[in-house]
Amino acid sequence: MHSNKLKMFGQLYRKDLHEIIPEIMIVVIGVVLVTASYFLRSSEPSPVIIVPLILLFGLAGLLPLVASFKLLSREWSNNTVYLIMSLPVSGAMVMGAKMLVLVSQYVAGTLLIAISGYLLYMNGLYQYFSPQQPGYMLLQNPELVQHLLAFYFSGLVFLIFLCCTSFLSQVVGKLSRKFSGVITAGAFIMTLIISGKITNALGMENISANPAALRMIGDASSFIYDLNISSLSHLLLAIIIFILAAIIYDRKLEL
Amino acid sequence: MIEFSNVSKSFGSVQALNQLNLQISQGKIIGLFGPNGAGKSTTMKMIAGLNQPDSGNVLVDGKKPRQNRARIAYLPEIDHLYGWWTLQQAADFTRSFYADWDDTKYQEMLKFLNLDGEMKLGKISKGQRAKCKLLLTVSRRAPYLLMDEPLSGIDILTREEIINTLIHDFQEGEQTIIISTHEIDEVESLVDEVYFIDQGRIVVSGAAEELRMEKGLSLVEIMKEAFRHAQQ
Repeated sequence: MHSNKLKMFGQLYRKDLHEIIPEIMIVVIGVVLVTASYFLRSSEPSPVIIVPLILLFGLAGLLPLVASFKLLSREWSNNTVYLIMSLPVSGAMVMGAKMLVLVSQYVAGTLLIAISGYLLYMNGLYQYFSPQQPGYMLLQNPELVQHLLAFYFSGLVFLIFLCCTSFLSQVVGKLSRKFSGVITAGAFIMTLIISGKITNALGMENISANPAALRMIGDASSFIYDLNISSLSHLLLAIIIFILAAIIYDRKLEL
Repeated sequence: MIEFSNVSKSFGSVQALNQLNLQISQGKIIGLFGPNGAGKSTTMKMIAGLNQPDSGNVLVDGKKPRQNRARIAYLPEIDHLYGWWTLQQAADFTRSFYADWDDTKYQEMLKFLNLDGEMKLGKISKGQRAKCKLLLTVSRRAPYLLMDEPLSGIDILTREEIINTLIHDFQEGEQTIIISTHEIDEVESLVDEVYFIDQGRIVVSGAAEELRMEKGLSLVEIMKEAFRHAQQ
């Protein structure tokens, strides 16, 4: 039974992964171009190369959110929703597979950029950032690695939260045959506002809106602690939003 | 058994089903006939669990259709498969979800319908796509097979192939096939029982042979007569 469910999930995952190949390729091509242009340069390495890499990192973080809208709404525009909704699986499995694809896209994209950045850093770029300290020493600093990981997972959790919000707003939008797009946009904004109010009410404000946290940036461990609390609140909200979206998908969606 | 009890469904100001009562027994080929907009597709989608009634009840073997999706093979009128899939990929996908998938039957029907597993679904003709959809549906040994306008927009030769497939494949008593169409003459010889539906209500129903004998008319003529009366 469990292996059957896994097999079903695997099929849904593979199908959805195929749908976002163009978005994955954008990041891959970008990283290859930046890395190649650095290694094939004829002059001295320039620290400016870090700018397109940072932009690519932002893109790799943003594209899964764009893809979350594409993955679900395309099922309707291509009529494949008739196939998906006929399957003997729950909305949680259908949207869970999509979520895992988006997480994979984020992880693969950012990891690729991180590898490229590391290669560039180790091959001459480090002299502009830490001339006294060779690159490998920097990455052997456990505190720094811990902080980088905290930032990375905080970004991942926030992306999951946004994608869950995107799923919820889309299934709410699909409840109506008219003005579906407007309802989706409205539901997305409303969910973000309500989520913000909930985190504020629970005293788990976002770091950027927390002056106390900003003052403590000097004290990195306090800042990371607040970052983790903020991530935890977003993760809890994401789970609630995902469950809501799955319930609406299972009980209310119609074709 | 499929049961509709006083089922009503509206889409905005359009009433698709109006207090529909229907009991479909098992193991036969059923024809759900009616003009465009009569409520045939809504009825089919409701059995498949894709629609829900505003009022009334729909039960498939005593359960809500959404709890019975594993027992229903649904063939919608529109193209509902991914264009980038090959036929084989579509078959692999379907196989993973349904325990009633019959690989031997799939291979046999693949040859019978003259199809190739490597065909890309987005790059073949409409007729071939219709045959692919049919193949994926009939390769399951599902107790209920729902076919919504399976002949719509298909050329005459492909229509014959589709009808021959259904005749070739049907095992009386084991499977219930419901065919919804407004092209009655094509499937007249195929159906055991018929339901003529108009404006969301059943206007005539019964065993096909009995209706033909009783009225001395073909099913197409019976439908024309029934709808003339309904409109007056």
